[in-house]
Amino acid sequence: MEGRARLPILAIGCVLIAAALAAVLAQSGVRRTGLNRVRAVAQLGTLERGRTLCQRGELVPAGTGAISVSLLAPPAGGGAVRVAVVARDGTTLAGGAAPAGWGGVARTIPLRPVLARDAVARVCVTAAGGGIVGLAGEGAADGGGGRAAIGRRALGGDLRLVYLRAHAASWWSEVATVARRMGAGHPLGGTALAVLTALLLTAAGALAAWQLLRGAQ
Amino acid sequence: MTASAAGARRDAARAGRVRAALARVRAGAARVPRAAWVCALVAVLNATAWSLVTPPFQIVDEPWHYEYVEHVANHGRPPAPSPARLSPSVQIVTEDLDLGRVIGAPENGTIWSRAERARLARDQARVRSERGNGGSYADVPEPPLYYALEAIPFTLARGATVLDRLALMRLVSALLAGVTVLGVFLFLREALPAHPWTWTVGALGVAFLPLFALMGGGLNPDNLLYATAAWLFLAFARIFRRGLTPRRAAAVGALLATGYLAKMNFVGLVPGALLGLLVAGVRAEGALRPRALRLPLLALGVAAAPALLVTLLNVAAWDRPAFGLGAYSTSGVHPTLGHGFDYVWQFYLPPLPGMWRASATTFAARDVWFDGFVGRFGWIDTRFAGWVYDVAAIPALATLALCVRALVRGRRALRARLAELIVYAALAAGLLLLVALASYNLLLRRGGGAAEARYLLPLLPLYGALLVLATRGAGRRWMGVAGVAIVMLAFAHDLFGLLLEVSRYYA
Repeated sequence: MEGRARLPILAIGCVLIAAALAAVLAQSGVRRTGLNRVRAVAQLGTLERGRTLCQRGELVPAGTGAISVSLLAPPAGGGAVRVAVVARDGTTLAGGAAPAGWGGVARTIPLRPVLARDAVARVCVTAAGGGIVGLAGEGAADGGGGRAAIGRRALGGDLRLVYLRAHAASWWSEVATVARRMGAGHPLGGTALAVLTALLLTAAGALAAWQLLRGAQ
Repeated sequence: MTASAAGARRDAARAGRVRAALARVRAGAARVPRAAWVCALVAVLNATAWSLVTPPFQIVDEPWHYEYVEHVANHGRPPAPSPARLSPSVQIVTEDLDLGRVIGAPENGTIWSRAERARLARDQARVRSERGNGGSYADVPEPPLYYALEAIPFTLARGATVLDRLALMRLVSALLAGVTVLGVFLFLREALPAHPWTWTVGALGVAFLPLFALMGGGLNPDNLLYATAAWLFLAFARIFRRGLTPRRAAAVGALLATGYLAKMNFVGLVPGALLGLLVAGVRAEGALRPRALRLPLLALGVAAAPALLVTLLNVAAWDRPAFGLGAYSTSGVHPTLGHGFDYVWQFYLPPLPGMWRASATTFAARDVWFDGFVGRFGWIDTRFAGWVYDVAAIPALATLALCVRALVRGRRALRARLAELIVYAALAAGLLLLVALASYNLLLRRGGGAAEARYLLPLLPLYGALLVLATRGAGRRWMGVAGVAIVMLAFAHDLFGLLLEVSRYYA
């Protein structure tokens, strides 16, 4: 089969790949604005009704409109939970609540208002409803008290927290944000790196296609 | 004649020799088809793209390989086996990148925030000490050739930060990926000379293999191993097609030396290479007589000289194990033949009734080898969704079926090249056996294992051949469709593999 005859197959392949790419990028979901990278590998303790856990030194990114907290629901279902993002001076930057009746290992709680800029803050979680809520996180690496505490009692570790946008969005709408996150420590910025990567891959694909069409010349 | 005139004549003669050598290199390069250069360039571009997307030190053992290079560059020798200790400049970067919480935790991305990046930049400027001990090579005292090669960009970038140097060294690996694909293309040209267009299909299939591109975009001695193995396969394809000559025997010897000095796993290819040399020697003489060993011995002589030198340096000057055995040393362990056989069998195949089962051998072969080949990236902690591996089995089986069809149709030609095929099979079997035995040894020593798909990538030339045969298996009429479909699938696989990396670390 000569090069010209291979062209339609190549074109169909390109269209299929482009369609698959578009379908993946169009997937909708609530995207992360950040996370504290604490792994939910241990139960740090429990939070009884009316008690509040606070975790200091959290970097809450701009654009955060919800927090996913690693909580373990009791068998009968979790009670209502409140969350607050508190600045160093004690000002509440954002807060929210989630009703009772949840299960699983993470609870997503919407925040209002959406954070306008990055904040280093305390994140406080209050068990407002009935039942005892388990706290999932990771023991402090240095064997110390960790950053999470209930009242003055340190829990010996940190709670896993994931910061989310307020609403679901496609990957398309996140492309610029994700690109900016690339290239930690690289002399090129994240966006330039993402563009360069796309160009390299496009060039590789174009060269491959050209060679397939050229045949064995 | 004055002394200065004699000197000028010597300089002129030397310049003439250099010009002649360059002319020979140019002539050799001109004999390589342009398609081969294009495929190699595709591999370099693709591996570079992977190197940019994969965050620093997020490829298996990369911090330790960096440390080894740093030691070679600063001390002019490989490190002696010692307990792990990173230099302060590398240690602070691994802490700032929060590697401890990112490696093995696919739910965690790399550092994103401005504050974290600012701290990384600040610490890189502040902590410059390169006083490490060469890394964690008590178990795996790898040979120094790859690290010596990487010491060149490391040294050229003196004064640059750890991450700038890492980015530069990754580019050298990307170039090695190109050298590998060039070797694969030329191997396919020699071994499967009919239908030249299909060589491109095989070489591009390798260039777009995500696992290969991931490794090619990282700091890892496997890259030199892959390149050397590809050219070793090429050397034997040429020998079996054109005969064993002193020059080709010397080339095999040089490749054996390079491989031995690149990574210990190369030892797995040596038995197959020895068999190949013996078969080629006998074929050249027409019978098994002492003269048939002349060229194989030449190859071994060329291979032995640098290997012996490094062995001598290991013992006399570098305080390292003579043969760099490390993980392959059986001192202090008590392997048994029966258990060893059972382990090696189960390393690749389902267990037979009554076989001994060690807990570390209860992994599913499909999970490690097939899923690993389709894609387990980073520190083998980044996976596609489960359904992707199931769907990937469909084109994999179709490719295999087409390949079998081509082999059945060409069985007469196969019979005529049986000796050559046995040598390729011996090269593959030796590597498979070595990886399994090294893993068995690790199991006995500390209850671990070494089952990773990347260890089989020295067999990439055979993977390329499989793709070529699958293309031909479609028949003359559909060959173009099959070939283009294979490359398009490989490209899609590569693209979505790269997107998986992006989503894992940055989304």
